[in-house]
Amino acid sequence: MQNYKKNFEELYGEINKVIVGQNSVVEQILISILCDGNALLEGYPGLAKTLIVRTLSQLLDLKFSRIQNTPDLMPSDITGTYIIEEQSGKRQFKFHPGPVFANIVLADEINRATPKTQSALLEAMQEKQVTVGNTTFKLDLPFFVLATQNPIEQEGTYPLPEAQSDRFLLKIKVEYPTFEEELEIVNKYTSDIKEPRLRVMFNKTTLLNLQAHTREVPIANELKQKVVKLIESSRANKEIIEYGASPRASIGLILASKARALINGRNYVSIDDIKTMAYPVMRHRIILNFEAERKGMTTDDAVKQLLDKMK
Amino acid sequence: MFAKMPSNKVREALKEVRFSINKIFMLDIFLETAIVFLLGYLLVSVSGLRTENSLLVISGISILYFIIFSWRKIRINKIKLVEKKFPKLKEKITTASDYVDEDNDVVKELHKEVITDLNDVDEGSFMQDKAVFLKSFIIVGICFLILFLAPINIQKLPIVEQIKNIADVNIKITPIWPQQPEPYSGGPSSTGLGSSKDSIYGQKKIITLGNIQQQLDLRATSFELNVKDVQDVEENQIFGDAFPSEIVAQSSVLSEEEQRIPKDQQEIVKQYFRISAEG
Repeated sequence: MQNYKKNFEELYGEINKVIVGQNSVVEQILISILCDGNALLEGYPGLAKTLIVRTLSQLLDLKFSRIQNTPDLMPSDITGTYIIEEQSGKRQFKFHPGPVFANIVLADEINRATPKTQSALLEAMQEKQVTVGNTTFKLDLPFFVLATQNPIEQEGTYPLPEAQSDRFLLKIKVEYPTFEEELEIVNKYTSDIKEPRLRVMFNKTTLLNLQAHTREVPIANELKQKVVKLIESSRANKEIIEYGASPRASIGLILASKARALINGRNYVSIDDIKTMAYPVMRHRIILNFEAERKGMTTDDAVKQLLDKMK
Repeated sequence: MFAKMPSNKVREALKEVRFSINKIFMLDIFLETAIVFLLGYLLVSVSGLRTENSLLVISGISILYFIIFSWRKIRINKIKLVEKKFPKLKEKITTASDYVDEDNDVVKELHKEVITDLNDVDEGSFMQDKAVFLKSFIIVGICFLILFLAPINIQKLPIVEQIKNIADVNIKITPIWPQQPEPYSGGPSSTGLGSSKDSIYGQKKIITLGNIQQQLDLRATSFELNVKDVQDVEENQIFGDAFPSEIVAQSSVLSEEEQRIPKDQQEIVKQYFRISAEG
């Protein structure tokens, strides 16, 4: 376990060559990868969301592709399509895979795509396979979708329905850097033109092993019960919550807590893991009621309330 | 504390943790039970209620105390107790305990770590030295007090007498049970039949006491009279040959009698025979 911790610390070191700050975002993306889940990154433009994902794919030696979602993007633009190809005088359809055929897919501004295109992408990330025509193509594992969405500029967007956002394991909030971090960013990107050389830290096999190990991390029965009670309380608390989290959230929270324990070199889950991971796991799975919204509450405030009540 | 693991397995280590902490708890409860018993014993000794029954009651209370508190202590989660005492083990031992039968690399590593960590857990840290010392001191103190008071008739101590008097007065003022006939108090009557000065038979209710086995101490004549042996007066004895029809007292004898028996007692005897003769 201490070896894992050392490896992840080295990985952070490599990421920090490119990214300044945003350690919690990087950690949560890694957690999402270790859980074999997908993450939704929400943040204002210019906060290095794309850069983080691209850097991670380089460090993990994974095939990376980026989809810039627009309202006119078609599902076939993502999944791929059959094109006519001439081979030795014969014309035949040949499948031309889309950008979804990668290990890490960055779906930028997913809320700009039409629901039809969003569905195609969500199906791929859920089933880990793509069906084009009558043929089903298995996606290469490991496969992660990291989607981003902009909390502002809601005009002309198609916000993800709750049922679809539930499929993302984590909703990661990308915050603005601190003054010192921003100063460092400025220094880094205005003086040195050379791109830093990154060292590959994990390969696909290691990553798949890590995913298996994540599930093996033990969690005390008492903590499991606390997780279930927490998720259950989100459904029971009608004072501020209209719709609570589903059992998928319970699974997600336990898995995410396990992954966090693994990254931190622990071979058991602690209550801190649960409390930390409750926010990214639950914030997109809770719908506040009118009264709570009127008071200016956010889903994070609701999660905090639920955590405070948790004994 | 747990350095000598029998088979280096987490299950046995956890068992040993529980056993060691239970031992400490038992010692604590044993001391408390001893205090309860000794205090009870001291109390009944001082109050003059020391009978077989009261000792049985005290023993019962002590045993009950031991059972209840032992049960409560045994039910405490020892693993949680260790984790509370050693924050670095928080959730670690519980998890290892929950996954004691699991067999994968991560869990195995956790078990190894837990066993290593438990080696650093000191059994003495669960012993509350001050409390144990205080309880032992109290026990020794009470024992000495009991030994010290044993040769002294505490009932005769002036302060105890005073307390008793106060208690008696209180009882007379506010009786909480039906009043019983006044028992023989060894007062001025020397007949041994109550305090009535008028009649040798005394009150009827005193006669009924004859059914109860009692031992009366007649101090004036210095002999013991068992009320059980007292029988109804037979006329034959009174009017038969046992007594002469007339009593003639010789002066020499009378003078002797006068010297030996006080006047007032002689008068009572005379009155007795007179009443008996009159029927």
